[in-house]
This record gives sequence, C-alpha cells and structure tokens, in this order.
Amino acid sequence: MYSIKNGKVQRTASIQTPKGWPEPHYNPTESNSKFELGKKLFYDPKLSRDGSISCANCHLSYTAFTHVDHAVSHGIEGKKGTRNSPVLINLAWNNSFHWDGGVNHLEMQMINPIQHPVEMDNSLENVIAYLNSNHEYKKLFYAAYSDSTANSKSMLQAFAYFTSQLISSNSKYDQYKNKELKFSKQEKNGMKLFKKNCNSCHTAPLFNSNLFANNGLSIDTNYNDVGRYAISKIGSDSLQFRVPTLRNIEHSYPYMHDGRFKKLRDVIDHYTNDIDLNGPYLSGELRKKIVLSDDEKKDLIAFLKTLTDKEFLYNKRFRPTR
Amino acid sequence: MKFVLILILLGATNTFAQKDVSISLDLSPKNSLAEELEIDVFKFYISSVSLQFEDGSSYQESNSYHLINKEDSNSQLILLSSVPNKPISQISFTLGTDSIANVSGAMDGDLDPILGMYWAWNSGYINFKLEGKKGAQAFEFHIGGYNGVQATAKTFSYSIDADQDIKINIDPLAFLNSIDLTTTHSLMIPGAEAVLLTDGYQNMISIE
Repeated sequence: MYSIKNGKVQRTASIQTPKGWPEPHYNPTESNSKFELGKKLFYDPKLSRDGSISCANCHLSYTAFTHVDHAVSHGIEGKKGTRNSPVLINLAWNNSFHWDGGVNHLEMQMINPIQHPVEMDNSLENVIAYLNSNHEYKKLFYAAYSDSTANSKSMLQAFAYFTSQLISSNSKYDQYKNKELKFSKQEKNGMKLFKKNCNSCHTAPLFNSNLFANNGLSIDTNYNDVGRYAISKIGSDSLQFRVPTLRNIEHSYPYMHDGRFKKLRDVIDHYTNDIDLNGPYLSGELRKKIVLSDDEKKDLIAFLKTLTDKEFLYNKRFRPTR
Repeated sequence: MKFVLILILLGATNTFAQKDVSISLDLSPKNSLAEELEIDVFKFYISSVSLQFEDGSSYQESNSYHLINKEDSNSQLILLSSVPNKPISQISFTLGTDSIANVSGAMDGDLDPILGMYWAWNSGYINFKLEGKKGAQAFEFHIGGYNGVQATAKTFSYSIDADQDIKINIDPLAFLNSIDLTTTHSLMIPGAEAVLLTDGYQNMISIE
C-alpha cells in the first residue's frame, strides 16, 4: 500500500512495531495480495516432489507453527530429518534462520525445505513451472505483482511476506506488561526467577537473542550435529545452536534442536542438573550453576506459560483460505 | 582448451559521445593437453565490471552481475552500454559476487537462485563451478563464500590499449594446474580451503 504525502510516495510498512519492541529487521510494504499468495504457497503440498508435503506439515499454526510430538520431523516418503522443526514466530526480528543460522535472509529460507532431500525434495525449476501452469496462482501473482508469471524472486518474496506476518505479541505476559491484567503470585515469582536465570539469553520482549550458544547439551550420537560450527568453521562455535524464542513455548514441545526433551520440566532439570560447568564450549552465562527448588521450578513454568498467545495460535488469518 | 574473454570496442558512431562495449567469451581448446581435459561444468560470476579511461575518469557498469556458462553462448557476451567515448586504459572486474548480492534476499536475472549457483543451507552464491576430469582424475570445485575470512570474490585489473580489441583468456587448465588434484579434487563448501583455491584464479586469467 502506498500513499502520497507532501508530494512523496510513502509506503505503509506491513509490521507495526509493538510497544517496547525493537524495530524488525524485515518489514515489507503492506500487501494483502502477497499475504494471500504466500499463504497459499505455505499450505500447498504440490510444492513437494510427490505432492505430499506442504510447509504446514511440519509447521502447524495451532502449535506455534512447529510439529508437536515429533523430536525431528518427517518429510517426503516419511523420511526423517535431523533437527526439531522450529517455531515460526516473530521471524521478522531474526537476522538469521535455521538452528545453525546458515540462512541469512528470510526471503532465502524457503529454498531449503523445497530442495532438501528429506523434506520436499523438489527443485526451484519444478516449483516455478508448477506455479506458472496453475490458473489460481496466475491470478494471485497478478494481484500481487501485476504480472501473472511467477519467478523465484516473486515467489520467495511473497512467501517471506506471509511468514514475516506471523507475529505473536499478545500473550498473557504482554497483557500484563500493558496492565490489562495481573499476574498470580506464582507467575510473578516465576518472572523474577526468569529474569535472574534466563533473560540474559532469552531476552524479553522477544525472548530470544539473535545469537548461538552451547547450553550444555551432550552431542546427540544419532546425528552428531555440530551446529553453528558447520557454517562458521570457527572452533569455538562447536555445538552452538540458535537461542530460540520462548514465546508459546507451552505449545511447541518437544524442545531443543533435536527435540530431546518432551516437557518444560525436563528442560529446566537440564539447566539445573545436567550441565557440565567445565564443558569447553559452554556458554559463559551458564558457567554458574543454576539452583532452583522444586517449587521454584513450578513457578518458573507458570511464568513460561504466560508467554502463550492464544490470539496468535488461533488466528484464522493464518489458516488456509477456503 | 581455452576460455577467452574478448572485449570488443564498437567504434563510436553516434554524436552523443557514447559507445557500446561488448565483452565476449570464446570457449575453445587451447593446447595439446586439451584431449586429457574434460570439462563438464564451467560456470562463474563476473561482476563489478568497470573501465578506466586515459583521462583518469572511469565507467562502472550498474547492476553488474554476469553468470558466464560454458554451455550458454549468450552468457559469453556482456554488453556495456552508454560508455563514454574516450580512450580506455584499463578494465577491472571481480571474479565472484560481492557481499551485497549475498545478503540482500531474493534476486533475479543472473543472480536468480534457480540457476544452480546458490547455496540455500549456507546462504550465498557459488561464485565459481568447475567440474570434469583431468586424465583419470575427476574433480568438482564449487567455490563460494562472502563473509569476512570466507570471502572468495577477487578483483582483477588489466591495462589495455585503447581502441583495440582485448582478449582475456580464462583458462581452467591453468586453474587446475595450480592444484594437486590427487589430494584436492572436490570441494563444495565455503571456508578456508575455498579461499585457498581462489589463489589459482590469477593463473587462470591472462591478457593476450
């Protein structure tokens, strides 16, 4: 959307930065037609080689756009990946993508699942040819770009548009910060414990950091995933993974890059009990032992559940258009 | 086998003091080793093409990204349009893509990721692809990386005589001769090894 102001063409940004948040890294000009096109791509299994897998197979809207109950996701022909499918929340604030940060721009993310042999196992050529053979897509591309012919740039930008709009900013925590409701005593105590023990990496209001860290997990011998090191080739990046957002964490189980923990309690027990404080690559923030009583762990979990955003989880706008 | 980059200066015929300059590649066998060398894939980016004039001024091609492909003769012709009609003293170009191209999201034209010169898992362009067989030794080199110590784009400048056609040879055999293929014959990720391989670019490019 554009408007004219003082003789100059002004663009309307699609993302209005929530109060107290930093500016997003990616903020395309508002376009309902790009949203609809991107959404159709997101829910279309025909993007996969055999027409069986859409993005939504591993990124379900009701579960914060991840794949609950799956440590790692199943792609084409039931083939299994090696990492837990990440939530798609507030991606416009991320400056890199994937657990190892290998993807440097939201628009380039989509190429990965399309091409990955255990995800959609397709090629960009095939996908673009399919889009250009489909009457519905021709209409959607025309609406979005005044050009019914799809190319990879227009497809990638429309897709990034849709995923950039998956914004969660109305959790119970946000409503508390906006003084719309009060926290229970337990939630308040949990928030205090969170600020002391967790917030330096999972920093409010996004509850992440665009950084990679080793949080003391032992290497998974099934996958031998070295994380960030595979991208940076810097030795000290060994076994480092993205610091993910904790928003909607209640609904995005299982946890960690390989989905090894089923419950929030397992995660907290890892941080209090299982970390080798002398591990060579351990994040500096974790070198001091975290001590929490059983009650404190319950309080912390109560706080983490305030990060659930029902408006986000049940947003009809994110569901397929009928 | 040789790969020749020819800069053809089309004589100035208009009154606007501008001319078109075309750069073309001639891909043809070079020497007796040619029969032992089999090139299956040879694709690379030439970017940031600029010309320097004898009067000290210069011309920089805008949006200057060219994917050169052995299999596509059209790709072997680069047309520089509206070049000031002045004697040219030097040509500069980058073998590879600059970091801007690598970090700016979806691109089209010669930078379209559909062209097989893009790594999705570790975002960035493959600047240089050479696959084939030398004698009995198969090789495949995909050289890329743009970030800091992983950067593989290299810029070259060559003096040229004004008003004369220029030939730039890009000879993959010279590149391969800079490598011990028995130990190094396959590389498809960014990093220190890729950067080391770009040392062979210098040998590969020559002015006739």
